[in-house]
Amino acid sequence: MIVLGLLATVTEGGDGSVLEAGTTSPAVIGALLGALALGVATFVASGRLAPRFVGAFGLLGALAAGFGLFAALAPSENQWVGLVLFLGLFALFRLLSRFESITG
Amino acid sequence: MTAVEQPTGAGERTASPPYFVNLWVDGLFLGGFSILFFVYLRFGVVLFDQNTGANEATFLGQTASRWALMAFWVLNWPHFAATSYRLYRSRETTSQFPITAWVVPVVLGVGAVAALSSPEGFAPWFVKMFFIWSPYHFSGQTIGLTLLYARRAGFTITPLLRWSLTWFVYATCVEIQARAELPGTVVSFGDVVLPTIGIPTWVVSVTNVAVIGLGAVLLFALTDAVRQHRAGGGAPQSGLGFPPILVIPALAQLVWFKLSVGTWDTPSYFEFVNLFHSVQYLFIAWFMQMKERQVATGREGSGAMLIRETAIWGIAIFAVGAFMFRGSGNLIAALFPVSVGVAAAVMTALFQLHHFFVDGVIWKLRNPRVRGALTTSLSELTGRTGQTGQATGR
Repeated sequence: MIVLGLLATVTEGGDGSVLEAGTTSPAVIGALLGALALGVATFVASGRLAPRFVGAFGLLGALAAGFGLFAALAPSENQWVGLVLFLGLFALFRLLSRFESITG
Repeated sequence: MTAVEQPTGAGERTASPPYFVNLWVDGLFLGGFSILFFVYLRFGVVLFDQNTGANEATFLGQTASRWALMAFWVLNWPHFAATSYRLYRSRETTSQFPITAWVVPVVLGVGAVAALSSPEGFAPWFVKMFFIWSPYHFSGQTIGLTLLYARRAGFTITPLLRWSLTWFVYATCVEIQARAELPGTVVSFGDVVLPTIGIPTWVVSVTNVAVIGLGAVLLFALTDAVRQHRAGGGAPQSGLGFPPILVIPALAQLVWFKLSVGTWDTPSYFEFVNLFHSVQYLFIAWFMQMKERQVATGREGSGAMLIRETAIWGIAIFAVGAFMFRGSGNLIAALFPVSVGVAAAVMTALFQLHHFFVDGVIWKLRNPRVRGALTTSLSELTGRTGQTGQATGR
């Protein structure tokens, strides 16, 4: 958390100005770090966890990556990119409806 | 409640009563209130205009500001707390969903810390995520409630009906969200100015056509399901051939996300949609809570038991909800160098995002315990029928 906060402060710049979309904003860096951590956690835990838990970690990683894309691309000057991003977020939500689901 | 999505198999019948109370009460809580409110505003606006000359937005704005905030305390915030309570009330429930209970809060908490540390570089996207996810979440509840009542009534949801219901409901959600993502749209939440994705304007027209087309397919599918139900020897559910309550959640969603748009001050009306969603939720959650308490305590159903348990549950979720959405923001703003507007927005996003995860796992009808508790009724809870303990799945 502290690292994220520091990163946010550094990348935002001393004057706290908002960075343009497409640059390395704090949100993008945070999301990449999150996806990285979740990917590593999934790998480390994959041999010891039930498949539904491994799948849940995978989905969390996908959410972090999706958030990173969202932060990197929105607002988008290219409306086609915006459309893909828009629909992609809904697809991600749909996928997340299966998060840690149990059967039986 | 988003995830009572479960196929209702052909020929599947339940012994449970079709309603928690009856058609009228269930119908009001499932969307009838919101539809009546919609109608009231239509006529109310006219009367108001005649008497004062004020415009529609002024009327609704005044109504909203007067009632919505107060209602958030007793409906919206407690409904989030009720979800958290369902998950965290015991080690048994958290151990069922450990990732949702323990890992997701950490991941989202890290996001919240980053958002508070960077109100302009991180918070806008963090808060925006819940803004986009929220109508999708409402849609999931609409579908889930429809399937729940179909199951209770023993009405078979055909694959076409399920498909068309799902896509119709989600199309209304995509349409209203598309309107919010057009270039140049500016939306703020608290002190956080949210980014707009920026999509082509024609997307709104396409989704509008999709809603109409899918609505037509849905009507056809419903008619076809009634025909199959009758052909299979199913009992007539009503003069319509299907349980009328099945259409109420989808109709309410149509009002929330489509019919109200452009009719008057949509942002104000949408504040009420949050409340209507919560009303739906608390209605079902109350029955679930009472049923589970009845089973846990081993007591016979009675009115006194319901009053006592309702008071305990109600006070608890009111207090926790107030802390989540009012207290936490103020506390963080007092402890750290961040405005109340930013802190409240970030904490709201944090709790809402976690709510979407939790709701996605705790209401699955494929979980026998959930399925059992969701077949209860007021008659059973008050001891007027002899079903106590039969349908808990324990």
